[in-house]
Amino acid sequence: MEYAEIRQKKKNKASLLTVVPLALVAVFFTFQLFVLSNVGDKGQKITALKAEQSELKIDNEIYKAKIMELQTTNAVVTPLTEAIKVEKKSVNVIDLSSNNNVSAMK
Amino acid sequence: MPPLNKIQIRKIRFIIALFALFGLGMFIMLIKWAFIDNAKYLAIANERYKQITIPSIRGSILADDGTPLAYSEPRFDAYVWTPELETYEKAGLQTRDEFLIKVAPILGASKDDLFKILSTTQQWIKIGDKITDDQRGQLLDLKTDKGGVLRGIQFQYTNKRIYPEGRLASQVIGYVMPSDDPSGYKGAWGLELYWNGSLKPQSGYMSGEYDSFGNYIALGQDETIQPKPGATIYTTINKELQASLEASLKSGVDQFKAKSATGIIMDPKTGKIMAMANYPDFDPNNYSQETDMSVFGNLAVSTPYEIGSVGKIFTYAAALDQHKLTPDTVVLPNGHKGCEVISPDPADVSICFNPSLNKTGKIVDCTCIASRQPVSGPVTAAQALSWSDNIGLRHIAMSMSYQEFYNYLIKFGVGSTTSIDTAGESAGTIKTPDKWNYADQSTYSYGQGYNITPIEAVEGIDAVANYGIRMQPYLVSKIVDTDGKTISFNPKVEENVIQPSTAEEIFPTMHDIYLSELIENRYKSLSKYYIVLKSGTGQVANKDKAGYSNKVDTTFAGFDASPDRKFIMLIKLEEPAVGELSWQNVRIVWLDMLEQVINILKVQQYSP
Repeated sequence: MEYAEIRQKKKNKASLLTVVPLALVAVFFTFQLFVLSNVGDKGQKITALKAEQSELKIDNEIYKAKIMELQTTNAVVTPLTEAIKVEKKSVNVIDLSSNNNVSAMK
Repeated sequence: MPPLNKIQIRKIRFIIALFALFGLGMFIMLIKWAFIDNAKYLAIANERYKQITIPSIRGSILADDGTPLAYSEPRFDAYVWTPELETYEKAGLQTRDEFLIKVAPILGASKDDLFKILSTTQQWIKIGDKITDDQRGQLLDLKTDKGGVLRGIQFQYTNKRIYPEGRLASQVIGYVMPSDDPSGYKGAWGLELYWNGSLKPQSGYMSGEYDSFGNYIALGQDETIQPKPGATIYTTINKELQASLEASLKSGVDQFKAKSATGIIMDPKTGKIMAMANYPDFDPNNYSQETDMSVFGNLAVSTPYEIGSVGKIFTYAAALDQHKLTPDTVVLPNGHKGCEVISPDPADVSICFNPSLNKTGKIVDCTCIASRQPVSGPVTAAQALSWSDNIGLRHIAMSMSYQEFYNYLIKFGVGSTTSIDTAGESAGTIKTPDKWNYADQSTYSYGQGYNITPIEAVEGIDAVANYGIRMQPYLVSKIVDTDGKTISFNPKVEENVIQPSTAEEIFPTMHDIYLSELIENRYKSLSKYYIVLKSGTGQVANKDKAGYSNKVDTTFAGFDASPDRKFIMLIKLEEPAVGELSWQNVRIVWLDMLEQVINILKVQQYSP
């Protein structure tokens, strides 16, 4: 191989070694720009979403508790009592075997 | 390359010196940042890295129909952040007066009270404890007189334990008290204590990097663990039966002036506790207002007592099962005189009625029946049980050795806990047969001398009700966690105590006892049901000296002996002041409750 040919090949290699790092740096910056523009500025949205998620969790627990409350005796009996207008009264049981006047009349 | 001139060399040296100076400066600054100002920069860095605990709530306790007995409700603590409040006041956007007027009514406080609370130098002042979501909503919707949002209030998420049925099953459920647990509570007494590990939640955890504006850095370090509420406990409690039992016990205590009352209703086939109650009870929502600490304990599982004649079921069953005798075996050929001398040395029975007649100086022990009236003619084993004749039962016990009798009492569960799944159970006590004497044999035969808790008694009677098989009583049927994972608890056989044929031999005698207790006309319709029972009046042992006081505990225990075997029910009155014997007081409570049990459980009429 001639001296000039060897020198040319070395030159090509050297230029390749210069171009590749520069290209890599360019790709890196482009990628960074892409990521930052698409993801990096989403922090505010993510913060809002996380806050909303927490609120929804609490809302969920509140609804669960309301369901529990609606299943209690009071929740069922009170509206019914009001609707049909019943009142609590004490009941006296008459014992027919006893000797009081009422049972004697019976 | 031509040699450099002096100027060029100086320029190069100047640039090198400049770089060296800059490098040195950098090096010094790095040393300063890394070592001297280390804490300051760490603090700044940590501010960007936030760790947030996500709270969660305690699991629920449900009745057998899935309705709640205890649950946790999200609540909020309300705070005033005074720098914010003052900033808006100084800006003229709102006044302190309008703040007090608008906020106080929502918190259920007066304007003056709220004013006093805010008159401190603190910046973070709590003004509302565990307020509801509705209250929080009202506070958030408040507007200033100028139309803006009323500022200065912040909220912190918390929760409150609610017992929606109030006193219902209070001693079975227990209550919770404040703690460092993630929910802020830990169980105290009852199911809340026993199942605390399952009921308590796991807190969530969230960490991440935030920028100087407080916004989350999406590409920063991040770790999130979701919170997990506590598991849901499904109990076997039938609310309708429980409410009826509690009302009956209260009525019994009031009517017969008893110190307390205890009741248990169990499914004999499975050991499932359908109702368990004591009176006096308490309201777990306001447990701190109770002055009598004894109301918190579940007497049904925690208080052994001498059950009296109910224990005769064990004596009778033990003798029958060992074929020592049959129901028709004559145990007292000549009846008795109301009392019987049991001491080994012969003595005249009249000493039993009048101890002053004892001139021998020797101790004369006697066994007597409650009425102390003589019984003439032969007495069979079945009659001894039917008449609750202590002397007859003594003779039934004498058909067995001490060891044989003891073995059966142990098989019936006397002297050991039932391992029921609630807190506070204690075991009764019984002496080992090597320490027995003739008096122990006699007293044990009619249910005195050994201690037994009401739940142990029910478990023992179950051996008769369930064709000889004693089931372990239980209160929790399943646990379901938030992932839907279910742990079910199946009925557990505790012991094969007697043969099925022995159990069936006992029923007719106990049914006769039941029929004999239906004295009043209002109970006559109950005779159509194949219910069997045994009553008991147990003397209360002295606490400070040997022997017995003149106080009694009265007990009625019985079960549905039809093939359905719907229930076993035991009711005990502690030291009733009205009526000396069980038929005079607890019988009424038991039979009144029986009518309700028949209705609620739809017990069928049956004739064998």
